[in-house]
Amino acid sequence: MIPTNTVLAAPSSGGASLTQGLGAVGLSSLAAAGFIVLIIAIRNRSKLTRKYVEDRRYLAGLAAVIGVLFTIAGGTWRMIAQGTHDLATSTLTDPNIVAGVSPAGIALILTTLAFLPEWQKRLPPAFFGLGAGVSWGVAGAFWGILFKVIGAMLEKLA
Amino acid sequence: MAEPNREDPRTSCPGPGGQPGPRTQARPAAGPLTCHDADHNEKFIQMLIHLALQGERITGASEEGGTMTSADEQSDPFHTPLPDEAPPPPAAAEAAGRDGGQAPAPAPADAPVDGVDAQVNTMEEGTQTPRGSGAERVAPPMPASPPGTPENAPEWWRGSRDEPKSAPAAGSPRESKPGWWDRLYKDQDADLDTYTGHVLTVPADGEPVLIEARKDSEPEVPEPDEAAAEEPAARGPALGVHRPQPTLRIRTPTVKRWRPTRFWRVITFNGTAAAAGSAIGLNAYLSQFPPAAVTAAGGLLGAGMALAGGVTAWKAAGSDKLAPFVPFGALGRLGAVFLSAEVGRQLGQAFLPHTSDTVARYVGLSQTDTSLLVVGLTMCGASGWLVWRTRYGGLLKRWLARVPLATSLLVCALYSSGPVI
Repeated sequence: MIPTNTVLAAPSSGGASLTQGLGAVGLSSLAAAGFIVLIIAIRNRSKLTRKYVEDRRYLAGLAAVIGVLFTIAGGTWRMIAQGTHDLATSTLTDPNIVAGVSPAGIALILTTLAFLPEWQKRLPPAFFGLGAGVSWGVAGAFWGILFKVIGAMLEKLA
Repeated sequence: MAEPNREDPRTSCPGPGGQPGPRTQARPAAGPLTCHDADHNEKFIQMLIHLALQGERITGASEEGGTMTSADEQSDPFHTPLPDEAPPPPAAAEAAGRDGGQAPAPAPADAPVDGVDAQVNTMEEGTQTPRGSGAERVAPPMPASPPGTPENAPEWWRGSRDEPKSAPAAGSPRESKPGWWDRLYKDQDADLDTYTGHVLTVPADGEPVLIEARKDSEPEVPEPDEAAAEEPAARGPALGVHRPQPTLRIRTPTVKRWRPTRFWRVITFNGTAAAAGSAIGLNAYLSQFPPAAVTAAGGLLGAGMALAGGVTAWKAAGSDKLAPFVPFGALGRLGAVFLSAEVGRQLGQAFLPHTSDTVARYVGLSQTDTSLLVVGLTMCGASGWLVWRTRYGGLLKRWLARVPLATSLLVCALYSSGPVI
């Protein structure tokens, strides 16, 4: 075997490379860190998170990115994110009330609810943002492009 | 805030109260320059004097040494009155002021007019009294109240005459209503924090006073007269305490109309536009494009680049520098356009696989995603350019331009091709 083939076929988490931002952190650790960061950002007591995610829209964006991170991290993190997404989805689109909602429609509704209203409390935009991050991956197509771009960045980071 | 000057009878003009009848004072002989011709119209003269007063107040003619009318001299503190003017003795004026105008006022009803006449007559006769010499100073320099106005004077006349005579009377400062500047600058313990200048005055009985901070931005409605008349009588000795005005004044924001939030405005505008696009069938037409993105993207990119090349060639061949080198005139320009468009089409079709390869390698999007992105960007870009062109138009124009963009965005958002996770 030619050693170069082995090197090329090796997974990117095997060794340090230029495409890795944080080295051997891994997606699971990144998801755990993102979970903690999201809770701190929702509480809004930290000066640092208040500097960057004081705005509710930025908080929703952070929650969406962390939703994508949970989804691509897999395992329990994915279960948590999927549960949040399903909770929001089943609340908003009860089949007894709204019938025939496509996954893209759910993504549209969740993204609208996360980013458009002038939220006063901090939990709803984080909740809908987390669900929106998952729903982008469920919907595919244009939402999937968004999901893939964010996921590729996170995978490069981890 | 400005009404207490009018409801207090002690500070009202002494003149109009006591002179219900016609004028009894003999008028001087009218010179050629008097207002004798217009004398029948009393209001006209009053208006003239009022305008003169206003002009003096605006331009400050007395301070600049300009021409002085007699109306100026009425309010000039350094003016020694002419003997013809015959000012009332101060005691009589004070008594008239105390009695609320019941005593016959010494000032005639049309004193300003007579003053004008006298001034003109004096100037004609040449017996000019030297001004500024304090020898014949027989009256206080500035009378406490200007000469009275007729009883049937209109409201604007009373208001304008009441305003400048805000000099403090002889009594205590509480006896006379001071001007608003007195509250600001004369009270040593004025409340300068809130800039209202109010001294919180509480009646001597010690009864608690409720100070309420009004939150309405509307000016205060003046109270009915009977309440204003009964209140000082009930207070008894503390006559000067009229009504405790709020010390703390909360500056309220302006009156807010009800306006939907940004969320509902955006939703309504774009939602109705998308609904209109769906109603006219634009939705069904545009929704054909995203599923056919893989086959359509190459041709779309080629068409876009052909269009861009054609436009570029048309402009370049028509420019001043390159036009002499284009053969066959307009026909050669047209040929250059077609040539450039064909080159652009070929380049665009060859451009997509290369682009999608690069994107797939570095960004992580598949070729299908790149094609979809090209199609979506073309749809939304073309309709967004329309929105951008009409961004300064009216509401209807912007809404009509928004219809294709909202429809395209809705089509792109509602297209799903299976989960990617």
